[in-house]
Amino acid sequence: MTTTYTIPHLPPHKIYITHLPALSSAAFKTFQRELTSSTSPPSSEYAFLDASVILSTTHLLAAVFQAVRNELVSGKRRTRNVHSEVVYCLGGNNNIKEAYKRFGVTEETKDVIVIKIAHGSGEYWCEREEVGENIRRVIGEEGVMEAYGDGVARRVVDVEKVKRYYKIKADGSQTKGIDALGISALEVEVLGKMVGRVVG
Amino acid sequence: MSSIEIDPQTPKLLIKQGAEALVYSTTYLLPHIPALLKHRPSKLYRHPTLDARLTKHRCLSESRLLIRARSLGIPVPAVYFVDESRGEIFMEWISGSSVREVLDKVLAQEGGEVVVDRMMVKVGAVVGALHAADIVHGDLTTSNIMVRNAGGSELAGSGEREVVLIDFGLGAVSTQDEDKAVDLYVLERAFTSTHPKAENLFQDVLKSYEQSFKGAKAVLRRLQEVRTRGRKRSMIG
Amino acid sequence: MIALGLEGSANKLGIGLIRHTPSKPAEILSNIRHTFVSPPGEGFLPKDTASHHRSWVVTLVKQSLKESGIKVKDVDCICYTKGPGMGAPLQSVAIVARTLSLLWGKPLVGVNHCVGHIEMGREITGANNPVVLYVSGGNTQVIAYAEQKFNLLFIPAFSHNLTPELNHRYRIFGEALDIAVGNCLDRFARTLNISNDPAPGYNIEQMAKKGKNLVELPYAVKGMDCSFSGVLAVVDLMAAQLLSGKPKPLLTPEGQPVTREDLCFSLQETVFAMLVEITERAMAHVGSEQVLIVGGVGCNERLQEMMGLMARDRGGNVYATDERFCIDNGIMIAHAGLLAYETGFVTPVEESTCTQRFRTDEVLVKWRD
Repeated sequence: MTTTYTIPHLPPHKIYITHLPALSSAAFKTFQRELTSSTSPPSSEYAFLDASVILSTTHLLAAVFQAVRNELVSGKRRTRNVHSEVVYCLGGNNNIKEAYKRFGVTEETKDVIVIKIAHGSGEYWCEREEVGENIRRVIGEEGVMEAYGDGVARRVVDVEKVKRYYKIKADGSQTKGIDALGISALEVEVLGKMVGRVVG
Repeated sequence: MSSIEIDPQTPKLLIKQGAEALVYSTTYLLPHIPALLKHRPSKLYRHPTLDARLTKHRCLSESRLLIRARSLGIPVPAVYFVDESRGEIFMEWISGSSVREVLDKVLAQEGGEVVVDRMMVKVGAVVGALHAADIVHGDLTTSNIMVRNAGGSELAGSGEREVVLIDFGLGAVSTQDEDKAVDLYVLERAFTSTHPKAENLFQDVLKSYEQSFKGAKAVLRRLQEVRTRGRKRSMIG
Repeated sequence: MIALGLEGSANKLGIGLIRHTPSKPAEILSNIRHTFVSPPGEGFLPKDTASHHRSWVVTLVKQSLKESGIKVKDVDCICYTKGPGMGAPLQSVAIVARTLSLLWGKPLVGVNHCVGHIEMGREITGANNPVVLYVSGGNTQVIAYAEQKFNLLFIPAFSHNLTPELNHRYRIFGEALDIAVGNCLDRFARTLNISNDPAPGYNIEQMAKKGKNLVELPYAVKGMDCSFSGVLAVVDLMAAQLLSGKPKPLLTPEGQPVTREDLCFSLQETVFAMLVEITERAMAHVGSEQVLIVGGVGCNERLQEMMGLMARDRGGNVYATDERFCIDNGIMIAHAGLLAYETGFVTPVEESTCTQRFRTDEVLVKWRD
């Protein structure tokens, strides 16, 4: 199942998010081949994330938002395309390779989040149905597709790993435990680390 | 295949038009996340190169101060997103009232100062924490100190409403007692001009400030000097 | 009523005669000036300036009376600049004012130079309650008339001593923390060895019109105050590098050679942006849409243009005067002095001193409500 989002403060776009709870390594390799091939059209571009290091929908969308702003608004994209930019933005620093190692899909990944960003027109635009069909084509009839949301996030996230990656101290400070409206204290800290790269 | 279509029509509502920045109330990422958008529009009168340089510098400087303050446990709005080339900062929406509004309301009632006594202690402690971190606010009026509404904070459950410092547009990193004393001086003027009763309340703020960090006593001594001279300078023609 | 005004706080000696008639605009009967011009690369020294004023003042007063056709008996009061300004030039003119007062039996009125600029600017432009930017060789101030005290309490610069009578004062919102903007421009003109005739700032303005490349200079605004010494130090260093070509030629980041004109252009763009910014901040605070520029630097067309862009953006207007009134003159002293005189203010001869330091907010402005 694919969930569609539109984020405010961005040019026209659609974001399609799908959860693959049991992606086979064969299927992932197919994705990867299409992804990295220089002859592949933009329609085969995706971002693949390890769901165990994503706190919530907010955390995920914050990375997507940054990536789309870099692509469409400020022109500051540092990586191959807007999809790889999502992984880069999750990292919160200038190390692209490390961001892929931490937030991308590896041998150990059990739950995968697939993100497709549609924007502009022509080959950069696509509808939800196409995304679903495309994923289905690769994972086969027996592959499982789920909607991703905060329920899934809570189930699969490894909070300690997230804290470690973002260097969030366990003891915390006074702000620990102070939520913002609509965002938990931990999410606030993570978002803060993600702007760290921009702000320096 | 089912799908959840989320298409938030989020207008941004202009809530303040300062000399430098436009402040909007809006949402960030999802409709249930209220946010404040501070936009420094480009100034037509400035050379474009200079304009871009200043916008970028100020946007980054303000964000850095907020992030630094928050990481040290000082209650300031969380920064969500920064686009320094467009001069935009998305930050946490603080739901509540300014200390100015609270004082106006409470002091109008008989014996009202007792109600805000705890609040004064908090204000002193928070400003002290800011100064201990060598951050000066630059425009520390009672309008720039907020008191969170209950519900915006987990602490609210215990009956304690959190005090939050906002608008770091004129803020800076400074180790100078003078700069810190000027912060207190500006705050004092804001208090005393609100209401005659507020003068005593400010003494509570200072008492709490004095205990909040090691260098506080030196700043308070400096405040005496600032009070006597105001910020007056003599001017040679 | 008619007033004679004598101004000599800096290198201009100005004599003016003005007539006030109730419910009519002020009438300028005479406004003449003689300027002490120092050689290129040199500023004007107090001693030489005072000497210049002494040698010209009698001629100018006579000429003023003659061209206006006013008889001494028609003059109601004699107004002179009490300060701020340079000591020796101020005193040289004050002596003349005292002498004329005793000789003709006319009351004396000591006038604050800055208030003179403001009142003349208001009279000429018709701006009724503007935020005033006063910019000259000696002063850089953003000023507004304080009648709504609740707005002003939150501004640290002057919230220190509020009593009811202080409502009738001009308040300084922001100012230069070190040297005045005009001084910064004049000193840079000296660095480049630009002529002081007719004025160093005027010659910088003409050169700036031919500048294209903007070099990066310090931008120093703190709240509503600003600072110019850092900018001057950096642009001076650049000029030294440009003129000597050492240690290497001065180039833009794109590799273009930087010219003298570029430096003038960059200096103006930077310091004027600072001035417009602090003015806008003051306008936002008091909720005014009008801005009036006075003082010698106020003649600069680029500054007027920038201020206009800012004011229009806020739905307002900029008011400025030409060189007759922007540059120090005697008519503004006569006008402000006469306004005070009409409220009963006189300066007894034994108190008719001068002072180098005399803040705009020390004057009780009784003639405004």
